Amino acid sequence: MILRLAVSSLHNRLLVSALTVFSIALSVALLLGVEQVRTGLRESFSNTISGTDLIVGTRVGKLQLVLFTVFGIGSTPDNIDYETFDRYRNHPAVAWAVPFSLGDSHRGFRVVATDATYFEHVRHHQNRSIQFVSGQPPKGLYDAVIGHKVAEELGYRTGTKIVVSHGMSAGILDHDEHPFTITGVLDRTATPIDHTVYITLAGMEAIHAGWPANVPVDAGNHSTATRDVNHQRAGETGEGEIQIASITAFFLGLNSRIDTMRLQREINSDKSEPLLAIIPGVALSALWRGIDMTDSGLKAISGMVILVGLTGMLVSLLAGLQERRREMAILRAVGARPGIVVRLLLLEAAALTFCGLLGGLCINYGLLALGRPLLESAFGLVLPIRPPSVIEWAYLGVVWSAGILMGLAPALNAYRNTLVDGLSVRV
Amino acid sequence: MAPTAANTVMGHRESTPSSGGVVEVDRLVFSYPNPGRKPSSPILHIDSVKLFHGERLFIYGPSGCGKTTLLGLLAGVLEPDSGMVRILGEDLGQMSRASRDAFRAAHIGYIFQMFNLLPYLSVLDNILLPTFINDKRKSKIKRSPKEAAVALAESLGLGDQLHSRSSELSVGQQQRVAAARALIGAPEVVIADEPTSALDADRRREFLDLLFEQCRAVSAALIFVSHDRGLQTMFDRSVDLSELNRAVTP
Repeated sequence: MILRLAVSSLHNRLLVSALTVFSIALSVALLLGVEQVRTGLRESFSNTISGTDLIVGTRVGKLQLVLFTVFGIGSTPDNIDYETFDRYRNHPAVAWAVPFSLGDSHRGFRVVATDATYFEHVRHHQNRSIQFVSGQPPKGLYDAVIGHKVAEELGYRTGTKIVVSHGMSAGILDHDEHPFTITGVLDRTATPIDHTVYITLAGMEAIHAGWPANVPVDAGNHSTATRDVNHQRAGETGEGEIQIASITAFFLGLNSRIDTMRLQREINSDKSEPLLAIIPGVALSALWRGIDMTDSGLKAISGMVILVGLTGMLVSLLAGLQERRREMAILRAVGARPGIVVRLLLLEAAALTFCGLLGGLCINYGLLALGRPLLESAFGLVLPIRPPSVIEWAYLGVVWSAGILMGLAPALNAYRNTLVDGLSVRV
Repeated sequence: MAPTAANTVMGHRESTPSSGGVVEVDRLVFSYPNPGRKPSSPILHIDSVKLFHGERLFIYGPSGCGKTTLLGLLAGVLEPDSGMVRILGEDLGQMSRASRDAFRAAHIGYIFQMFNLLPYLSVLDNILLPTFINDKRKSKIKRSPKEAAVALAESLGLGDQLHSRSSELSVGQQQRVAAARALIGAPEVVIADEPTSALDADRRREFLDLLFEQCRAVSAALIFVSHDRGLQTMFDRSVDLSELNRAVTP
């Protein structure tokens, strides 16, 4: 009965009710949006690499290792002996191993030398593999594959010839005697992969082959070829003749995740070479905690957004109350207890907030569906469409309770009014 | 004058105490809890008012003499400082606030001066409002409440407006809906607070005739307050509140 009264009463003030619902809905949509961006940021961040169990590099800091292997930021002065890599590749616990070397660049984009296993095993965003828009992994000595952004910004296609520079700036030490041919373009991943040029390990050895061992090592910091007898005729070397001496780091995938910790310990205590193995997930969340301020900033914004929405509702409920004193007097005259009046108003607040929540969900998911491609291409932010998470449900619950609590103010106000007014209404 | 024909018909009603009054007021003092004024200045001080079964009492009073306050006290919405209001032999002062509300719902029909209706409910739902709130009021209706409401509306000439929204009615129609609401479920007492003040002379007469007829039909006692002395001849008895109220200092 009270429900029916509340519904009719809200229906009677349709415009104001609708506006109130709309303002709550907007706040809720924004709250959910901010929350989704927050978790999306975090996930995009920790999804930069997926499927890899261990990242192994030389003894630099954990943070540094993550930064240069996953995000392509910074570098490392030391290299790992290729034999060491080979030893771990053949370790019984290891399913696959991807070696790679860093140190060169092309017009500001990082060059990564690796082999075909990289494209096969390295994953991003919940096990999505790297896809080719065109072409295939680099096979020949001077083959190169470019990420989506590289292709987009420099306008490259398969067949384009490019020159790789030593270090991170072009023009100082260009390997212009050995141009590379683009044999493949990668699809968008919304990760640093998009900003990378891939060549073969052999290719990288080859372009550095003719150099005196000490110069490039000091100038840059990447793998150097062991210049054995075969490498006297630099520039004409075939792939078969090049031996890879060292790499910068490698990724490991294990047969069973259970072995991760054990193998990590084993690598970290390797006697033959000082190595550092990290678990990507752990390192990434440690890194995320480091930039926690974004997180709490976004949370604070959410809180304020909701506060504004609920204050709007409080204002409209309180404003409506004054003109409803007559209504309250009528209800009192037919014998409604003040409690019924209070319940009526609480019910209205609950109903308004509930509609606001529903509306907010609709707006949020609608905008998410529409804005997803834009967010992904403009910011590399991948927001999945999925049912609200536990924390989002919790937010919705909190908003609803807060809405009802807000309804308590006008309800108590009305209660006081009914007792003072009695059956006469001085309006 | 008091025992009307209807009263004898309705002899099976709840027994009233020996004094025989449906409504009895005894040394009633009331002051509004107003911090601005001295607490010792009552605005109402009435020695005695008595109303019998089915009786129609006209209370005359110019504005500001405490009419609405008296009605609030009779309806049990306001609480007196001292003295007693008894309805159907039961002392309202002895009841809790909640049971006073329930008692009002069950036994008293109330008609306001104007704006009697919830604008968002239909005419029918407005008439049924007391039965929504109180089960006793509902149980007193032999037929379904809806049938009773329709019958009541028809006898008050509202048959065509049952499903209109209250806000679409004329003032005269609204007051008749209010009368129907006050009368549904046959309350023993109907209290009307200047219900005709917004009506012209013809409508006023018509409204009163209908109200009396329906009160007689359920043998409800009627307390009718107005500042319009012209109406008092239509009632069984009339009192002047400004004479009755000893608190008024003109």
